[in-house]
Amino acid sequence: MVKSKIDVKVVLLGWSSVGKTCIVQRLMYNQFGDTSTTIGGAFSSKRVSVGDVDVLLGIWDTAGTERYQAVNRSYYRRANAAIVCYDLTNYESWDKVKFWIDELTTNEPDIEIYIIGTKLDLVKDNTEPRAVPIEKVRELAERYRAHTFETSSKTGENIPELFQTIAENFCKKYPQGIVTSNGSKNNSSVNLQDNNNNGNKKASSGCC
Amino acid sequence: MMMMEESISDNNKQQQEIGQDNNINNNNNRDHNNEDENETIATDIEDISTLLAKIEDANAGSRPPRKYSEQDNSNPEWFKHKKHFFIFSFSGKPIYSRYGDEVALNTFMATLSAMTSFVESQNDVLRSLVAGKHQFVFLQKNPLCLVCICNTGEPQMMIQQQLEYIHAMVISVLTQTNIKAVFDAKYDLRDLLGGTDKLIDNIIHKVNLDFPILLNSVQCIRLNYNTRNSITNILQNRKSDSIIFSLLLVDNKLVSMVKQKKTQTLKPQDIHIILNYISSSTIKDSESFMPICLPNFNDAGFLHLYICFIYPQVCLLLFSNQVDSFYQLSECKDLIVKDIESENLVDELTKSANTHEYSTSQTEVPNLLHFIYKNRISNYSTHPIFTSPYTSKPEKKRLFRLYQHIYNRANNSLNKPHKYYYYTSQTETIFVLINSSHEIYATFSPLELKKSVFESLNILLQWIKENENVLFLST
Repeated sequence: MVKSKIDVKVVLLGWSSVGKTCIVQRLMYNQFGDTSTTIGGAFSSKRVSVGDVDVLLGIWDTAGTERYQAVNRSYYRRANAAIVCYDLTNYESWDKVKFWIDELTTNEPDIEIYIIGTKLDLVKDNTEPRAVPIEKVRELAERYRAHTFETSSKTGENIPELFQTIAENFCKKYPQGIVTSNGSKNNSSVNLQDNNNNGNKKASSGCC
Repeated sequence: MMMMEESISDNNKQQQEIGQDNNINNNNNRDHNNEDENETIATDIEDISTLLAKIEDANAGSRPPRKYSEQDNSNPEWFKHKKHFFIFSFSGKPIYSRYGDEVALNTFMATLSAMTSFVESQNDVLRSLVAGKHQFVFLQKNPLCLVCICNTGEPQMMIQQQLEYIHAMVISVLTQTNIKAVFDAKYDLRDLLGGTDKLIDNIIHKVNLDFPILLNSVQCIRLNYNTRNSITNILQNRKSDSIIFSLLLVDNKLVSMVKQKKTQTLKPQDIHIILNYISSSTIKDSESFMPICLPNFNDAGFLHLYICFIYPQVCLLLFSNQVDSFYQLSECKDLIVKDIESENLVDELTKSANTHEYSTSQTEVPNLLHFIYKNRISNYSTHPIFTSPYTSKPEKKRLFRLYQHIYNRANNSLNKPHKYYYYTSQTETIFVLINSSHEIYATFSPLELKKSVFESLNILLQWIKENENVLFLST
């Protein structure tokens, strides 16, 4: 049986210097190092498997600096999942999470939201105190039915898990593949057809 | 209206809490004088200001620490830097300082601003002043003022040109229209420029050592004619509706540039702005997509630039006029890569990154130490790598500064540039030849006889002519 393919568009949002680019670097190249301020947006794609389904995550890393916030809208348009990042050790970055969730729920009601705390290693080895209380995160996540993770790009903790979960949740939600993302590559229309044809088979076999 | 606001803020300069001026409530009082200009531009501005109004903690200092950021004008070390650059607004609000924290330097910049205002009140413009070994060079571009203070002894005209490049860099981030709108609304520009310190730092670094910028020209990579031609054909064939320009770079130098629409060509300054973006960014493995304003192309709006390193050191740039064209451009990239691979050009391209540089000995011109050459019609330039005696950093710098002076003298006459200029010092002889099609600055040992300098220059010109196809893009 031909493996079916699903495209998922993921967008990373969050205040500047919370570590969005570092998450992508850890996921893509298993590296951690200095990054400079992202200008505009950067796109990378990562293949993960859910059962026998090949999921292609198209990941948009966006700039956290303010002048690109108007532009960032064009990156999250028609995205399937949004990773909203905050720095566990910086309360101001948490304030920004609410801003992004408001934006997302108004403009993209169907988007799955993942609230991600970054720099977990700093909290764990007591370099910096935790600045954002867990209860607050939980409360906000419940209100918007968002998923939460705490990650460290330095150690890699929870980074692969995060993206695996995004892929799995997407497959659960849309066993037939792309439903909303007509903004992706033209060849996705081919995929779409494939998915539709195999849709029934896949739903029974691919997803748990 | 603009002028009034500026002068009001001028008077309030002393009381202004600089850096915390981001008064969000001002949004309602904002001027809407740009509304009738262009609908799309107006929405852009609306976007930015409404977003700004939404943002609560707009002026928090989240930028990573910079070198020398702890210094200010109370620190004697700060005065030891040879070349300072400052950017502030017409109302004296600090925006950027090359060394030190711009907020800590706010009184210093206010003084500079007072100097320009004073001269302006006499209906004049302050261009430069000299104080002992230091010169102050001013560039006023409403609503920004750029100042360089240095003791490097560079000609004023060259510093003016450097300030123009820095100003273009700032415009490329925000557009001239947005900068004006932000000032009319009395927002703090630094919030919108966040993260661009590095871009400005880099362009300053570059204008101080880059020969193509010195000659206001673009360097092409040295590549055999057929390869370059094939690349140009590929870029020409792979176009989509929204693409305006397609460029291919190797080692951040131009391989090919194709204009896909009937429009003006890119000016050297715009190309250097683009190159500066690429050399300043860290991610070399993903596809990037960003808004960029090319000041000489259109300083009122953004183009959308797609960047992808298709091989190590080989970078494809596609300029689009549509904000949602990323996937279209990405597909276009796939086709270009496919073409490059099917024509077996990959090796040649990646190899050229390491082999494109040449030394004067390869030109086989006797006694030639160094030269810079610019084609005045195409604005492409070429120069060899530094070889002995220009191997140490101070020696390289000295030669660069010398070229600046010679360039200034040869071109600074009020009418036309000099046709010939011959300069001899204790360390070198530089012979300049300028005509309508090209200009060349060739360096020899100071002991060289005039006759042999002339002969060598002719051989060099001959060599450039023979290698034209390899050194430059055909026009």
